[in-house]
Amino acid sequence: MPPKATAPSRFLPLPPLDFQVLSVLASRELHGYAIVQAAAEALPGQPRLDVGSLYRIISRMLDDRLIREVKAPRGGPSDNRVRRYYTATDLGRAVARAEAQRLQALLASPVTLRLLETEG
Amino acid sequence: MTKLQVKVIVASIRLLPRSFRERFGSEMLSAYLDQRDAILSAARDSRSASWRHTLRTVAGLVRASLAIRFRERRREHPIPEYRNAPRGHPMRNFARDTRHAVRVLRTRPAFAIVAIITLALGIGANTAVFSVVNSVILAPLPYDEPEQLVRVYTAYPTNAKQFSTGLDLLDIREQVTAFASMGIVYNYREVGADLAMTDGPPRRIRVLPVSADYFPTLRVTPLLGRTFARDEERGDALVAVLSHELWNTHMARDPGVIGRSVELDGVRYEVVGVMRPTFADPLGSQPSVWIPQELRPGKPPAALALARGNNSRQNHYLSAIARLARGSSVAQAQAQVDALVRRLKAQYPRQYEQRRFRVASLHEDVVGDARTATYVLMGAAVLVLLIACLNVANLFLVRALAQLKETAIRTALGAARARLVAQRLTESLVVATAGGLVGSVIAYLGVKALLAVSPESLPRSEAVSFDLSLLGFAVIVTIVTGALFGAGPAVRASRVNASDAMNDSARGTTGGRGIRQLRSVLVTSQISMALMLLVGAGVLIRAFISEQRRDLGFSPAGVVTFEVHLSPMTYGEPARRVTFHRTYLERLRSLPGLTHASATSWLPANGEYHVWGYEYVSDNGEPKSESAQIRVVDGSFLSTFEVPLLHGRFFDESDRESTAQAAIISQSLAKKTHGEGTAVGKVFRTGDTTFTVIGVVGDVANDARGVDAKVVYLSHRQFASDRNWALTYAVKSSIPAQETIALARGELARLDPALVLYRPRTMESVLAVHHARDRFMLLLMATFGAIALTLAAVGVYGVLSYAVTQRRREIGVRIALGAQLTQVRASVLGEGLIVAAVGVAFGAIGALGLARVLRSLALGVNPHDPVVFAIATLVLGAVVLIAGYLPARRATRVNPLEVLQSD
Repeated sequence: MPPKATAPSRFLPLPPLDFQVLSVLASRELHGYAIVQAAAEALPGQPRLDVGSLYRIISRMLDDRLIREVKAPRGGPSDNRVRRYYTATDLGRAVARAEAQRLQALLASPVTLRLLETEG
Repeated sequence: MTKLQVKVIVASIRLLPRSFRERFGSEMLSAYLDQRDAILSAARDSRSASWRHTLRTVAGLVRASLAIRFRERRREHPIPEYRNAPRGHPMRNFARDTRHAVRVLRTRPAFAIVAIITLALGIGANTAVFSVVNSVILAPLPYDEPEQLVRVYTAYPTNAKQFSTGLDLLDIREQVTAFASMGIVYNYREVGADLAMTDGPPRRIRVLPVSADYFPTLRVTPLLGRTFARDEERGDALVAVLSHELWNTHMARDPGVIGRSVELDGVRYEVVGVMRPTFADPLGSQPSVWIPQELRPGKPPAALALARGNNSRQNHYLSAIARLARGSSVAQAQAQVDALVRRLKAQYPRQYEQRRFRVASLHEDVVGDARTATYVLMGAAVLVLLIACLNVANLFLVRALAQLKETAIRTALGAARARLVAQRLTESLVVATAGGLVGSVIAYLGVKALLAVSPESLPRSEAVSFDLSLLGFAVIVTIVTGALFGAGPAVRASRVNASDAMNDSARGTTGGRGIRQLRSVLVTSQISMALMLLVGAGVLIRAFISEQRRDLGFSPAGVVTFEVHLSPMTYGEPARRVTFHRTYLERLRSLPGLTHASATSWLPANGEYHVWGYEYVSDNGEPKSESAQIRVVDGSFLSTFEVPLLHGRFFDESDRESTAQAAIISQSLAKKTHGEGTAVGKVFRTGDTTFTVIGVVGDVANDARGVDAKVVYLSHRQFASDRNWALTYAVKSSIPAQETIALARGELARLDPALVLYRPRTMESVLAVHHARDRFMLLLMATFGAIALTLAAVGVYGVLSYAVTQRRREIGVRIALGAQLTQVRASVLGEGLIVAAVGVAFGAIGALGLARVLRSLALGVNPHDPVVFAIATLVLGAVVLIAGYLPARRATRVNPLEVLQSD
């Protein structure tokens, strides 16, 4: 029995690395290195994930039920390396969306806009 | 290469917690390899890129490992949450704990009171002693930039702090550039003067002759008027600066006092300035008037007695205080005076053969040897505080035992150890704070009492006060104390196993055996510290007793002394002075109850004074030189002080102004020069006069604790023309001192109403001043020893009576099985004695170390004195026995039936 419905807001604000992982897993099922790769492609200029941080985040998000493990999809690499695939749960997607909205609201605020203007 | 990288990564993965490693380890390795493959295929300098990647990965793994482990720990040991209480802010916790502690302590007032009084004694003793350390030793002298102030001494191999000659000081003042300025002071002996009063007899006041630079060197300015100029450094410059006190009492605070005059010894001095009330002379005298010091070379006219100065290269009578020039050090100044003395030696080889100059920090000089004494006291006070802490720790341990069950339950219910310890610590802080408050009051009263008992015992004692920094000290001591006695029991008691605690108390046997052992250790330490204090006090007591018993070579019993100073205006003629003293002595002798009357230029056992050269021809015809102290006497000096006449005769009526100059020498001087029996009839020269030895008398001590002095006694009648000798009268009478003084004063007024009977004292109190510091030390050490003894007794009593309570069942069984009551008693007492014996053994080692320090204080007493050690041990043993006997007796009252039924 899941404890009780958890509000996405409980996880906000999301640490930047967590957001990278969760946002690339929101729409896809990926294994370890693929997550690093996808995050680097989708979110250029962000701090690069290292293996240690990645699995620490994966472990925590599994515990928090933000992501879950899925069966390996067909067409993946076929050597003898151990690869597990993960994707976001509904809660995880909701959290990622909430964080994105939070960031958007932050960007849209007049204070931030003024900062960006003066920079240009 | 790649193999090595993989090994490094595998090793790093091993750093992760096992559960995490098992879950994700191989996956992590795969991710690493995937990433490395990508880098190898993409990068041009693939080798270094793959190493960079490897190292970055290792760093990430280490970081992750730390983060995960920290997170796991937090999960296993969450920050405790009390039921019904939100996880508290530390300050809120503290406030709640404090309220709780006060509530708990109020339910057991006896415990709280004993603990608070014990701590108050320790904290009070420390604060009181620290107040002395603070104001006497640590506080700077009350002058601007006091660290620049130094004293300049003339030093000889036999006396490193000799006075200086006028010409030497003038050379130093002119030639030593390391001194910005130098003040010269005539304080060889106290200069007094009779201040003429408009209403009634004159008042005797202290006068300090100083050079013009004295005030500027100390950087003090007058409240009114000016100080002295260089061209006034002469005895006939009749100008004076008044102290604020004298301006207040004698001049009624007249703002127009400048230009008015005061009459000192019949001479009118023009008032040119008034000092500020805050100014005090650094060398300890509290003058009422400052006048210029004669600094011209040569002997001044005899009439100017007040500012007399015989400035040669031989007459050592002046002191100097200098201010270092900015950027100069004591060492630089020393180097310059060394260079000066070398130049002088080249000029006057004989006189400067052994003469040196010495520059010493003024603060160092004023504080001097009080430093060791004060630090010994501080150490003793800290020992008392430690003993007090141990005692209270012991009390808290007893409580911890009583609360074992409560602690166990709370731990079992999930209370965090940190919170339990914090609560106990708060309790001890509350007790310490109360102890600190009471202790501050004790310290305040204690300081007042100490200064009242022994005002002369400390330099700068006028500066001892109770201020904010002391309160700060008390607060710090309190907190440290609270932590000291609180932490041990708190940590120890929180480390209980719940089920053990429950079973233990249920069975009613020796609960918390570890705690009991800890208590024994505490009491052992207490006893060893108490022994150290007792031995310390004992060594001082012995030193004091032997000093009191020391044969001074004379008897002070029944002798009353006072000074009579003759004004140079009225008594300028030597013959008038001789007549006055002879007449007054004659009248004193006729007073009822007075058996002997005499006068001397310096009292015996009052320190070194008037050390003159003693030139003689030895028995084999060689001219030789000794040094001896000159005493000019009148009347029956020997019988007043009961000094024995060994050979020859004493002065009598046949020794007149016109007959040959006669002298009497002390036994040690006779032995040194011609031999005791053969000295009579020999001649010697001193002070440009030839004398014939007419008698040899017994030695008298140089000071109250010192060695015999080599003394030459001269007859005032024959030697009055040398100078206006200030004579101190010594009379022996069978009536109380106060009545003797009243009679003597009346007779003086009849003879010359303008004269003052100055400083009347009994000879015993003259000596007591020299014992004052020793008595002060002794009193404090004895007090500390007594406190330590009491606390140790309380400790032993506490441990043994608790042990008896714990062993009730065992004792009951033994009594039921027919054990003798004496055996039971012995077994309880034995436990106490073992604790005491171990304590004494450690204490003896500590006392040996302490004794090393005491050696410097207790002159002439063996600090390893076996008698002292034995007595201290016996006293301590007796106290332990008494403290242990009460619980032992209670043990024999155990009723076996009751005990066995109670389970």
